[in-house]
Amino acid sequence: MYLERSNDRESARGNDIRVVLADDHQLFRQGLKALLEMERGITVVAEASDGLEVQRVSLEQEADVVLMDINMPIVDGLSATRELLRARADIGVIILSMHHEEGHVFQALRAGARGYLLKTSRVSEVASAVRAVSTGLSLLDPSVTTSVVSEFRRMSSKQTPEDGLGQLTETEVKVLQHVAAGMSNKEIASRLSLAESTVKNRLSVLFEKIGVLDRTQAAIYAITHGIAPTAVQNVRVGV
Amino acid sequence: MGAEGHAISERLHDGPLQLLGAALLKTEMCEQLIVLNRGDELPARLAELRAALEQAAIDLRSIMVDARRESPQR
Repeated sequence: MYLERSNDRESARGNDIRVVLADDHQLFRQGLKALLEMERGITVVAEASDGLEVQRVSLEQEADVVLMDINMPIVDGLSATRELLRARADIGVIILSMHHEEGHVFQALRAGARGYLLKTSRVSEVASAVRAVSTGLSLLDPSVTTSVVSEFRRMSSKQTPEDGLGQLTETEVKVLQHVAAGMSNKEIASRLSLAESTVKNRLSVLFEKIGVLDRTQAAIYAITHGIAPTAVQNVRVGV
Repeated sequence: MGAEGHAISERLHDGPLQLLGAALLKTEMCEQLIVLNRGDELPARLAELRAALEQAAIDLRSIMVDARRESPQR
């Protein structure tokens, strides 16, 4: 069911980050909206209570960031994330859930979410995540980071230098660093003087070599292997 | 975990946990109102907070009663 749209496109404040809240619990949505709107630079442009509606309103309202619950009627938050990113890959999706089990976190990352926070987070933390994700960064709740890092350590320990990082070419390492910095394929192409299609192809090969499924996993790989740019390491190690 | 456990887990997630999440947001709202010198709005917000916590307690009791009924002591 579509719920009240809080603002029209025109009434969002200037360059504010346009946020959509998707959660079937109205009490939670109301509380979060009221607090987020006290944060500078953030406007809640729409709310949705199911996974189908969130896709529609996010596209209609040109959302920058979607705060998405997992358990929602009609279409769950993970499927909604996948579908939404298929339609507009540049939207930053942050899963906001009561689930802290690593299975949910990995599923969320595989679906393309760039953030995972627990509903017990303070709103200032949610706001920081919204800001980070809107600039292309990824962010995880500290309580789930350990399991994610452990999983990537486990993946890394399975690989010899020859079948993982050591097999990357110099350009692929640079592409990986730019992915970790949150750049889009277009931005990476421009930065490295390559065609966008070349970056896309290199990424496919790179993912295969390091054994990851998407750019979020690649970014975490870059951080855990110490090859992300220093600024990103500083921002994300504290995730 | 059996089907019974799953059902309890789902009820806890959809009921009391969500209410506690909303209650946490309400405590933050109270903090913000104090910072913003809007103390006159506090009684209404505290009443909402109490209502959310009361409902969470009611839901928890109901889940406990049903769990006992479904798993009688041998």
